[in-house]
Amino acid sequence: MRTHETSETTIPELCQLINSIIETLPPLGEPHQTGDTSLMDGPDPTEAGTKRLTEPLFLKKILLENSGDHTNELTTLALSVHAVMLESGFVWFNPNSSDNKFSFSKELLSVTLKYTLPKLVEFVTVTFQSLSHDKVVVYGSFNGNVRRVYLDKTRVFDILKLDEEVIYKEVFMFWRMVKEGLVTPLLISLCDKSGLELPPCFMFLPTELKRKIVKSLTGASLAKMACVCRETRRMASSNALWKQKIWEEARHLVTVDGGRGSVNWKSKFACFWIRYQQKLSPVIQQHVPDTFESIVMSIRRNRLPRDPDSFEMFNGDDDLHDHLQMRRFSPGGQS
Amino acid sequence: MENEKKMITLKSSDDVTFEVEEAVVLESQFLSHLVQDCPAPEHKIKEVTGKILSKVVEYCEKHVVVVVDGGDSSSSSGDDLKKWDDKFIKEMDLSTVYDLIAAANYLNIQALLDLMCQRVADVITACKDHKEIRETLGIVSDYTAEEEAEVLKENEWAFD
Repeated sequence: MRTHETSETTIPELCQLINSIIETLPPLGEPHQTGDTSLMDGPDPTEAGTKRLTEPLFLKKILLENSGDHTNELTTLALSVHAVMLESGFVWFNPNSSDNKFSFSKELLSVTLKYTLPKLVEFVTVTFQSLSHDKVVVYGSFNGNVRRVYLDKTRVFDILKLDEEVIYKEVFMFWRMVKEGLVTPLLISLCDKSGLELPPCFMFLPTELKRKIVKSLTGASLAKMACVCRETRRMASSNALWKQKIWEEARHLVTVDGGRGSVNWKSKFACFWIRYQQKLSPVIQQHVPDTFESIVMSIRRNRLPRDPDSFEMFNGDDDLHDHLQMRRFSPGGQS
Repeated sequence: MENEKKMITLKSSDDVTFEVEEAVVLESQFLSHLVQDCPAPEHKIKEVTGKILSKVVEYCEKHVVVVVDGGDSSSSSGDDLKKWDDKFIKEMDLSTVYDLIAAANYLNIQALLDLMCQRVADVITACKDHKEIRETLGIVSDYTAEEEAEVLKENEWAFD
């Protein structure tokens, strides 16, 4: 079942290898807590019979199976990426059996793996390229969009030398890098294009949960979020939300008489931010001295939109982004 | 009576079972209502998979243990719990985080929901620009070129 005896591997062989690895795995595989008892203070939540293999462990198995043979690192690397693709629901796509064979040469340039989802004709492609002695770049493309992850061969293949807990972490890091950098974005693009239900992703969350996340962003991230797409722009436009950001990050700018919708809090925040970036702004938040003003503001705090209900009320505030007016204010915030 | 802890079995959508103490179940408002209203020994949760339910159970068990043992909320147990939470989050990929958000929302476990939402917010905050946010969250832009130019101009102050 070892691939590295030959330098040429067909994809069916690759898939077969993966299947055989899956079969050899113990059905009651240890979950990822292996060697890490600190996580298991109470009785194990997943008692015998219900333990399930976590994906990184699957990958670890593949890496360990093939580790130590540095002559065929690229095969193992391709195999590992292939494993993450399959684990995420992709199926290998092979319309022409003549495309079947590829050579894992030193450069691995000839390899193009195609994947699709059940019942789809569109596919994504994954290619590999050796950059230098220890760097490999994996490209994933769909519909003209290319994503890439850079993998460090030596880091991946030195895994065996490490102790159990570190192995898990390293494998997990590798798995997450491939999954989040390459596989999940491809899956989302493909589902989005084909009108399939999206895999777990930000846009898949119900609106109120997306809002909850957006609400806890910093002001600067909120502005970047507005640039992402129309929906995030709407979510990041609430005047009440910007007022809250002013409260959180530039409390000295909250004016006692400036509320009632007459203030464009986002532009106020923008002014503050520009000044802050230029180091002209006074120290932000946290240490507001106990002056009369700060006491007044503490009283006002209760009126600020901090609970979800009041935020919802302001959420239809769409006109805000149409005109961002830069308002002037004195450096100290209020007079 | 006190020594005998009542055990409850939870069954995921894919029929993975978890036997937990009743106290663990009470961390979830949804489940505590379910257990009260319907005193069966086993409860099927059709909306949550075994993989995600195991995480939920792991989280709730840890939080129950700390609250019970910690008693008068000594600060060290709070710190330990925070450390545990940090570790819990770090060992998770984003798609698991989204699944857990949906599960915590459904099961009504506020602390877990807050923790997971904060995790996504932190990931977004770590992005340097809107393109990186798109890539990280897997969002496809629906802006026209003009709209994008306009929105970028409006928010350019936020970019370094």
